[in-house]
Amino acid sequence: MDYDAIYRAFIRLPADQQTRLIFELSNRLGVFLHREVSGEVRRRIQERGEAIDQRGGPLIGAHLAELGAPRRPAGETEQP
Amino acid sequence: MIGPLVIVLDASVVAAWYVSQPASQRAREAVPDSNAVYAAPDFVLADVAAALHASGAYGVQEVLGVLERLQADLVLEPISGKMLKAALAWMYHYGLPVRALLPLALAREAGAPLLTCDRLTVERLRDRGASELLKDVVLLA
Repeated sequence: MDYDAIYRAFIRLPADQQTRLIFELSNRLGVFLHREVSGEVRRRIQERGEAIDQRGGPLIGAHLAELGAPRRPAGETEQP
Repeated sequence: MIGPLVIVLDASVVAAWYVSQPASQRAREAVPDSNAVYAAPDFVLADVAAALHASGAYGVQEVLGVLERLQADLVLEPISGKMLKAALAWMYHYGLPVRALLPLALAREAGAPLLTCDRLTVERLRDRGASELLKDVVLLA
């Protein structure tokens, strides 16, 4: 594997596409890459996230599964 | 300690979960139940309520149910003076609405990626040379 070539291709991508690629890889592999920030906001969010975890975690996926498919706006017909 | 991953969402992503649009599937796939913490500016609830109402596909009780669920599952952050100052500076510099920039201000403050389906704002930032800001943005649309 030519890791240098992969890196050179990566840094030629626009900034937002670099972030998108990192996010997609992180999300699919379950290994999250992110900048380390020791700010107050991040600490507070993480603490409140832990409180959500103690209630069983963010159940957004389960909630969306219960709801079923996103609803079509009123008056919009299905495309053939 | 790094702690769990923080992901910031804006209203365009949350609205896409509920109202069908081209980005809906990606918006749903992007938030698997995991160890990540999902955060958003607190005004997102009002924006999501407006989007659901505008769709004509949700009644008032259903919108209330959605908002209660979001309150339980998302970390809703108030807009700090620091975030407002950053978003206002970008508004004047890049000519974009401050409301569209506040989620990005929260993401940068938290050192987190911002997920968005707001292609228009991302393209305008790109066109106006805001590459540095876009390093924190993941466009799902």
